[in-house]
Order: sequence, then structure tokens, then C-alpha cells
Amino acid sequence: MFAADVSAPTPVIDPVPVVLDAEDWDTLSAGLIQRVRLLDALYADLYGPRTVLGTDVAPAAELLQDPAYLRSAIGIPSRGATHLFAVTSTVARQADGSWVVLEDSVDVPDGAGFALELRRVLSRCAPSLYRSTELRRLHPFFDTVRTALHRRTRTDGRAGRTVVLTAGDPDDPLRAFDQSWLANLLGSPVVSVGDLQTGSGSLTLRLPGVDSDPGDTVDALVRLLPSAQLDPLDLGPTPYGGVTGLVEAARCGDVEMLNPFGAGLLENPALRAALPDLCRQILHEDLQLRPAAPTVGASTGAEPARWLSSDPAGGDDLVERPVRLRLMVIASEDGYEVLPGGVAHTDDEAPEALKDIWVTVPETFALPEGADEEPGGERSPGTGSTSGGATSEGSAPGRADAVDSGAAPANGAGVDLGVLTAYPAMTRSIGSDLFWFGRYLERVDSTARLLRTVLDTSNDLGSERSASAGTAQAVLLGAVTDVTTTYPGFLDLDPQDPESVRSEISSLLTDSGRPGSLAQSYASLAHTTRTLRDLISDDVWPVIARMRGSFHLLAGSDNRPLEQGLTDIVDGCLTLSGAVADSMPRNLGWDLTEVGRKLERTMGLLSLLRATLGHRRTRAAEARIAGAVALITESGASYRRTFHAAVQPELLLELLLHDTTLPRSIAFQLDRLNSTLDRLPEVTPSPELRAPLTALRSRIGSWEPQELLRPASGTAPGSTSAVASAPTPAARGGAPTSMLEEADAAIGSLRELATALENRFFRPSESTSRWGIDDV
Amino acid sequence: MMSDHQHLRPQAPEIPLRSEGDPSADAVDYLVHHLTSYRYAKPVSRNYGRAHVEPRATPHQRVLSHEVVVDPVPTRLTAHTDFYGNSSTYLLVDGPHSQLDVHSHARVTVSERRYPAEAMSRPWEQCGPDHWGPLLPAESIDFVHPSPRIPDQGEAHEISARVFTPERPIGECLADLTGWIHANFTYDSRATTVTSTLEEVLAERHGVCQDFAHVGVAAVRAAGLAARYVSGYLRTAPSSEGALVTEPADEMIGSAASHAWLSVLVPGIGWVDIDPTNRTFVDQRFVTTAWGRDYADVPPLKGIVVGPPGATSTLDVAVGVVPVAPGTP
Repeated sequence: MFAADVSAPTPVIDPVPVVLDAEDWDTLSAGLIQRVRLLDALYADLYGPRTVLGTDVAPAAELLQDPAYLRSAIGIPSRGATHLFAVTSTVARQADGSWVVLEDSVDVPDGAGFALELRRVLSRCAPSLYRSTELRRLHPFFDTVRTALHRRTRTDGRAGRTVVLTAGDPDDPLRAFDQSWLANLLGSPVVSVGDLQTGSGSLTLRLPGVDSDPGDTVDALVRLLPSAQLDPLDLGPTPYGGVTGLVEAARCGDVEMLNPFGAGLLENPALRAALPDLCRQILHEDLQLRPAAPTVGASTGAEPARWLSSDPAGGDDLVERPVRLRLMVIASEDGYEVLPGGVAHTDDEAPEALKDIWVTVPETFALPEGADEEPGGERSPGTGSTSGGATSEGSAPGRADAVDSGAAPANGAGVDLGVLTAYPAMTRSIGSDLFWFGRYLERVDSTARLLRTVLDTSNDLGSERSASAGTAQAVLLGAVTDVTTTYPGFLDLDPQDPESVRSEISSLLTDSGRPGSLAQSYASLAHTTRTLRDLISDDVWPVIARMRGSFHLLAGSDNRPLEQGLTDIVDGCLTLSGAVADSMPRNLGWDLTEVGRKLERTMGLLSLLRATLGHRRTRAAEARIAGAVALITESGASYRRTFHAAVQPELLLELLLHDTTLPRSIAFQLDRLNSTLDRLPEVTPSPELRAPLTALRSRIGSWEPQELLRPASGTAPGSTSAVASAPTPAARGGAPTSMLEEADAAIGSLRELATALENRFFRPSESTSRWGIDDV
Repeated sequence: MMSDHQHLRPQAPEIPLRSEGDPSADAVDYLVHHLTSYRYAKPVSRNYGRAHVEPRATPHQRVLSHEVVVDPVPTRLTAHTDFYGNSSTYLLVDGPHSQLDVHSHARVTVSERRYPAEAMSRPWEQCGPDHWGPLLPAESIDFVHPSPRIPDQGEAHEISARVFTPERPIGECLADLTGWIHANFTYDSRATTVTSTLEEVLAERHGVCQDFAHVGVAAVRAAGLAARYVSGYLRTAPSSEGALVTEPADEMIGSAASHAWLSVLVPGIGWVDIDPTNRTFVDQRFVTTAWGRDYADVPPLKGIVVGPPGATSTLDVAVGVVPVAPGTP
């Protein structure tokens, strides 16, 4: 539900929310805001004058020994009224009603995106409950945050560009999800360290492929990577590579880091213990929220409060469980605000469940303008028709500003910001994601079509007993393994054994841990979309979510034929293609997507033709095989229009190789690939890109189907080909043709081209090395 | 385990004590040059650097002028005061270049250091944080604890125990520590790189001045006292007055390059600098640029170059610390 990976364990969600009334909330949020004000003042001092270290209330020794105290980061200015942008605090309530703070995430505060998703999912599951309760909505909070961020980053009348900096591939899919939601809520593109470059007076995005040409200027980085690992010059070597000179860029005011460098120092345990004294000393106030006693639990006498929850054992009655609440405090224009909601985690021996946090609105509370919305939960299905795709069923990270478009006029601050809207960002990692979006879209489509046809024909062929049916069955199953490169696959199986065939098919459909499987290709496709919010149509999110749903059908009951699930996926691919073709601007991003799609389709076609037509077999078997290939390649209608004959390998090959009018032919792909490559920046003088395609076009242009499919001399039907790179079991048999060798060579050229494209556009062409004086 | 007979009997340096009726301290003016040159086999496209080369003001040193010149002309050249009060210089050369010269010039006045005998005869046990009193900043606590390049090492505790014997006067301890490191470690510029760890240096008994400074700091911290790593220069041969000196002077190690030593906090005095490499208390021959917990806080010059893969470079370093008559240009 949350992650792109269809096999990722889904967290247990308890639909019973933690409900806080307005009074509870006022107490708690006031305490959290005070705490963050204190932490912010401490940051300003510890990374500034450091006067607090000279007092006897601060644990100077513990702070100075904390590796999170980044000495290089002192004296860095802040553009806003505060240094800290966001803090996530984990709190718990005691049985006596008081709140305690268990921990603060300051270096990398997280969880806000996840909170929104949980709210959205649950409000969909129980729309009437969410409709009938007057609770604080979450989106207006982010409007405030976004406005504050815009004002903070805006320079010289120009809209500030905020980007969200994440690790390229977070290990934890939930975290990746949370991060992309946050980026979405802030209206900021997601970038990785390789996309950024410091220069004289600015931090810029790196465009795909162009080293010398700086991309857009970045004014603020919402940092979701540990700050100690961001600058190899001033903070030392880092596994993330880092952005050289980033600390100095922040010091000179080129860019603001949010949260600032070294904010993790505020997580120091000794500092937490000293907060009550520090609060009196610095804010001249008593600290409202106490740190938890060192040992939390029943033995300390500090009994945690319990909250109504579903029974983890599965019983029908509600039970009471202790919970931890994760709440996010974010900088607003001149202070801090607390997200009125969040995620609660149960905290007992039973498996952890996640709960929504509701903050109810007092009965007398008058709804402000824009009250035609649902009071209560985020818009429910069927009521968000004015808000575009992001609210409809199954939307993954969508466009948050679209969600709140109805409320926007009420927000006076939005008016002048409209004209300052920045263009969508383009960076190397975004370019790479677009390229791979194209490739995986094509791969999912072709794998689904292949499996669907093979399932269909297997059913037909399985009911026959003829030799040709057996051969065709074996050839088609073998082609599945060859095309998806999921060896040994069917090559090691008896194609006549329905049980083992079924289990292999099932694995290819749903095993997302298996490279080449449909589920894995889909997960990769969904993954590439995480950075593409600005660049591809909003229409794609519901489609991607629905396709994810199809996998549950493929994995689940036997009630529905697998072919139906595969058809849903093929339909999804068609919708995605249409949405992209209809709405994507024809710019570099589009070209990179196109190149990815055409490359992938050409490779897939060549490998299918090689696996199915590469050996000569009996006329009857060939007719069956060629018929299936026509189905897979969606070329049956064209064939019938062109040739008034039964499907024959040579004629079908002629069509699929050379018909430039047929969108699924190889000639068509190569034409498009050629013209798209011409539009890519600096490609014309790049022989490493031009040469493989030129070689490929001349090779394939010279192919004569009759020649290509002539059995190689000296080999009898049934013998094993010497040129075949893939193992050919006896069951598939047939006489090898020169098609095998030719297709291998062509696929080789395509791989070379794909690698050259990636090297040219997405990978740094230069190397970085450290220098310094070794001996003193 | 170490035992006495395995080690040379150290010859301790003389403690420079202040006596009644001393004439006013002598001061020496120096022109300091520090030129670092990289030559690249193929042009590189961007170069980032961080330098700690500007001499800093101390009770014994006045900085009359300072300038860093970078060739090619840098797209950014900035300086700020770092966590420890040092001047920290950042440079960025953006655009193709085949050579990088970083040339630091300074003129400083260094005065003599002499210490009151009563403070130097204070037992070392009375020099720890509990005895600092309110005048010393709490931040000095930073120099009592292990640091990234000087982790807590068992062997450092053994050296410490040998030097810091019960009730021994701090002056004697520092003189003995200086002599002991000098006697038991071999100076070998090929034996170490900036990546040598303290553990390796202690095991191999080889190193350069920064390693000896690290050993000294580790031993002082093992005794519970504050010690910091100091980076700077040594006076070069006086014969080459006014010119850059590239040949090492005979008598002192480290005079043709940047140098390093350590400094120990002694209540009643402040920071007392000792140089184990040359077995001496630090005097007018030393120009101080920067200090920190260890080398990693204050490398004289380090950087990151972006260029074609596999590009090679050559490095030349020239340092001159030449006495000049006060008032001359």
C-alpha cells in the first residue's frame, strides 16, 4: 500500500485513532513549540558564540565529545527567523495525564509525509467516520509551511527554489515514501547529491550530460541525509559522495540548509537531561514537557496512559494499549507550528501497529471560509472531483497544491507567489529516472503481453496432443525465459508438467525479488516515478496504484484467470503511455523517456524473435509459434492487411523488421531512436553514441528474412546450435539459423548504446580526488 | 609492555624560566612565505581548497600583515574564523587549469616566552580541569578528551605514566615528555602519511612532526590534562634572508615545510608549547598559524580536485621564515 515494492511488508495499521481533544492538543502543542524554540536557541548558540558552554547548566564535556558537533559548521547564517526548520518529537502520555518526550529527531526529522498517507488511507477505509468527526485537517498546515518556505528562500524578487535532498536509493521503502511525500507537500523536487554542484556564489543543479552548463540555482536544501556526510571537503569522506564546498556555500549564504548542518547535536542525551535548566536560563520559562525518566516502563512507577485500540490478537472488542506519538514541528513565518496529526506507534509486547492521530475541533468552532469541504478527514473518495487526480482512489505521491486548490483563494499569501513559480527541475538523477521510466514501462508492457499470450496459447496447446503443439508450447515457454532472462526458468522444466509450469509462471508474475519478473519490473517502474512529480502527468499516479492492485489479484485467488490480471496491467501500460504522450512537454525529459522506451522495445523484440524464430521447425509448429508472436507483438491485424496468407515466419519477420509504418516494428523503433538522439544535447559530436546506432541500423537494414531464417549449413534439425548463447533444450529442438548470431550482435550493439547513453548523460564523466600535504 | 632498558634515556630540554630582573623580552620580525604548487598532467576543471596558513595572534605573536594569493585567479576566496579561533581560508578555482599555486605571505613579530618558576613547579596533578579556576573557558575541556585522530590508546597511557610520576612538577614532566619522544621515535619523512594512525605511529616508532605532536597530545590527555595540536612554521636558515628558502636548514627538522608541535594548559601560565621533534620548548624561532584537537582540525592545506579520470599531478612546497629587521619593508 505504501511502498513501490509489491512484496514489502505492509505495516500493521490499526484503524482506531488516537483522539486528542482541543484542550489536550493545546497543552501538548504549546509544550512542543516551546521545546523547539529552546532547541533553536541552543543551536544558534552552540554554532555561534557558544556562551552556553561556559555556564554550569550545559553539559559542555558531553557536547564537545559528541561526534554530531560539527566544528566546521559554526557561524553559518540563517535566512529565516529560526535556524531549525523541522523537528520530529516522540511523546507519550503518562497515566496521570502529563506528557513526556521520549526522543527528538533533529538531524533528519521525518514522518510528516507518512502521517498524511496514513490519514488518506484510513479516511478512504472509513469515510463516514472521518466525515462525521470534526477533526483538524493536515493540508492547510503545509500551505502555511510552503508559504513560509517561499518567503524564506525568495531572493531579489525571484522565487526561491527549494529542493529535497535524499539518498539516491533509500534502503527503507517506507522512508523513501515518506520523503517523496514530504517533497510533494513542500512542492519541491527530489534530488540526490550527484545532482548538485557548488560554484562561485551559487549552488546549482547539474543538468543531464552537460558538465559545463550550470542548471538552475538552488536556494534551500531540505536535507534528508545526515549532515555529517554532505561535504567531503569540510566534513570528511562520505559514503554518499557529498557535495564539495557545500558547507562554505551555506556559510556564504548561497544556500540554506534545512535543518542546518550539525543539528544532530541537539539529540545529545546529556543535553536532553539538561533542558529544564537550560530552558530557565535561556528562555526564562519552565520547561513544559519533561524528558522521560531514564528507564521507561512499569517499574519506574511512571505508568503510561493507554489508548483504545484494536485487539492485536484479533478479537472483536477494543483493548487499551500504550502508544508513542510522533509529532512534527515545522517553522512557519515567524515561529513554529505543530502538524495537527501524525502517526502513533503502539508500544507494548504485541506487534507494533500504526494509528492515526486525530485532533478534534471544539463543537463551537466555526469553520472558516472554504467550509464547503468535508469537515474532518482529508477528502473522501468521490467528493474530491474538483481537485484532480491526487485525491482519487489509489493516488501515490500526487500534487499537493492541486489537493488544496479549493482552499487557495482563502490564503491571501498565495497571490503574489503564483507569478514566482519556478520551472520544474531537471537533473542527472531525474533524467536517469525518466530514461528508466521509459525502459521499465516498456518492459512491464512487453512482459505482460508475452506472459498473457503464452498463458492463452498454453491452454489451447495443452488440450492438443500433436507434436507441433508440444514443440510450440516448449518454444514459447523457453522464449519467456530467454526474453526475461530469468534462467534457468523453463529451460530446466518439463513443459508438459502443468504443476511446474504453473509455479514458474506464478513466480514470474509475482516474485518481486526475482530480476526479470513482472513484479520486479513493475516495482522498478514505480520506483522511477518518485522523483518525477513535476515532470509527468498527475494522471499517472492512480494508474500506477491500480496496477499495484492488479498484482494482488495475480498473487491471490484462483477465481479470476491470470490472463485477466495481465490484461489489467497491459491496460495500465496503455493508459500510462497515453497520459505521458498527452501531457508531457516535448523537452529533454521527454526525449530521454522516448530513448529509453525505444531501446527497450527494440531489445525485447529482437530477443523475442531470436527465441521464437531462430530455429527452423516443422511447418505446423512454425505456424503456431509465428501466430503467437503476431499476438504478442500486436501485429496480427497488420499482417492480415499486408499478406493474404497464414502467418509464416518469413513474412512476419519482414513486417516486424522492416515496416517503418508499424509502431511495433524494429525499423520504426530505430527511426525514432535516431531522430530522438539527434535532439539530445551534444550528441552529434559523440561517436560513442552515434556509432552503435549507425552500425545497428545498417546491420538490421541488410537483413533478408529468407536469408536470416535459412538453416545454417551442416546442421540437421534437432541438433544444438553452436552460435546460440542461451541453452537450448532438446524439447525446443529445431535447426539453428543465422538469426541467432545476427540478433545477438544487434542486441550487443543496443546494450552498448544504452551504456554509452547512461555514461554520457547520468554519470559523472570526471573523477574527484583529494589532495593535501602529507608530511609536515 | 615497555620496560626501562628498552628505551633511550631521554635528554630533556631546558625549561625557559623567567627570573627577576630579566631584560624585556626580545622580539623578532619574520617574513613568512608558504608556496604550494600543483602541476597537473592534464587540465583539471575545478579545484576546491581549505587552508589554515594565516598566522594567528597570540600572547607571543603579533600578525602585522597577511595575504593568500591563488593562481589561477580563484572564483571564490574567503576566510572565516573557525571553531578554535584560527583563520580558515576557502578557495575555489572553477574552470580548466593545469597548475594551482597557493601562496601565503605574512609578516609577524614573535616575542620570547619565559615562564614563572612557581607555576612550572606546580605538581602536574594540580593542572587538570578542577584546578583551572573561573578564568579558563569551559571550551578548554575540548582538549582533555580523545579526538578523531587521537583516540584513547593504551600505549599513550604507558608513556604518560612514565612521564607523569606522582607529585612531579609540571615543567619537568613537559621537558621529560619532549625528550622522551625525541629519544624514542625516529624522524622519517617516508614513514608516514596523513593517513597514518596514532596506533601505527606508536607501534612503528617512526613518524614526522605531526605524529610526534599527536603522541605528545595523547600522553598529556592520558594524564587528564588539556593538550592541543599546534600547526605553524620554524625559522629557516638566516643566510637566505629575504628570499624563499627551499633547502632544509641544517639544525632544525621541519624548517622547509610547515611544522607541528603541541601545547599544554598549565594553570597560572596558560598554554605552554613544546616541540618533541626538535626536543625544545617553543621559542622565538616558531611561528604559530593554527591549533585544534589534532591534525584533522587544522591541516595547512587540503583540497579536492575534479578532473579527467586518472589525471596525475606533481607537488612542490616551499616555506621561508626569514628574520627581518623591525621596521624594514
